[in-house]
Amino acid sequence: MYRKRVISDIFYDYDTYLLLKKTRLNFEIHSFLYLFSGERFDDKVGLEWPPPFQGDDRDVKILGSGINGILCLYVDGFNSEVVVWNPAIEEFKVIPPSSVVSVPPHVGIVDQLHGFGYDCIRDDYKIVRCVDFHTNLLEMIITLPKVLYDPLWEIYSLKSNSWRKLDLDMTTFYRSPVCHLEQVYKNGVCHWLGRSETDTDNVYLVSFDFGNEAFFLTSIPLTMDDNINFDLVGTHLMMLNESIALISNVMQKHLLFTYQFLVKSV
Amino acid sequence: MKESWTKLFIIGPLPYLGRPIGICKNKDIFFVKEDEELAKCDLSTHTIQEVGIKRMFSRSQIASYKESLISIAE
Repeated sequence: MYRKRVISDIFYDYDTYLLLKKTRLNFEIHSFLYLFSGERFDDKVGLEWPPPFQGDDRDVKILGSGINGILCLYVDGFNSEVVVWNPAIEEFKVIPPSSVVSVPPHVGIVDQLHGFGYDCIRDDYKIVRCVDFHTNLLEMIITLPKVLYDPLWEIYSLKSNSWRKLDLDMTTFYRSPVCHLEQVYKNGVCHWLGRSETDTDNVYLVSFDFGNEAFFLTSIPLTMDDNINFDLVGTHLMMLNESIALISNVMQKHLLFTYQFLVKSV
Repeated sequence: MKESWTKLFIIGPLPYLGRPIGICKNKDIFFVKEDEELAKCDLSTHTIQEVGIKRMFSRSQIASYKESLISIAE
């Protein structure tokens, strides 16, 4: 109760920031969440994780950013745990496992959350994810027809509290050592960087619209100023004003770096 | 297929700032420096300032946030 009152008193009508900090305490990694306000970060309130993450807060992440004060928290991995949470009123909901996907016991599921968003037409909060399958190599060769285990996309609706399959062939996250899994969200659309497995020369901004549940691609210039190899550039996706910013961190001479900002209005 | 990127600006060249983790107030970009301290760079003046928060991991996140009383229960 005390925490709720503090949040409302301090942060109402102010610019506030949410900082998810990971740190190492007593040889264990823990995640902490703070609300900050004030020009110099002088007002700081620590938030307790919702109950599903209170026992193990090693690697809690926020999917995208808060939408209408609501956060989507998750812990990656096999059968990842996903919780939708409104800290101001201390309400949370554990997202159920997929009802679409049923596999034999020796097949595992790896889900990759790609976006959390708001569908203003249906007044609904949604999560989109790609489901991938893994099994041991021997079983894959001998017993399982591979075609049954193509990755698939599905979408969760908070209103119906269930997952359903999306018949889309979207591009998943672009993976490279210097490109982190980042997604941004604005006005009902979430965006991530993707590269198709069949067309590996091109990197795209993949934009998924939670209202019509369709996606579109925007190509990204691979070679920037100095014929820079995209794989060697640290690339980050963020919102800046009302635009999507693609920030590329490039090493110049003598250990000096530049950060180039490309923007695209949405 | 749309292609509509505009080059906004370049910061640098300068020594490595660390990994950018988010933009707040549309004017500050936050970095986790290699000494695990949080720093921000003002995008209009390009001045870099430490925020006074230490022991960060690079996989941290920062975002603008507005609270609400919207219920998520059925």
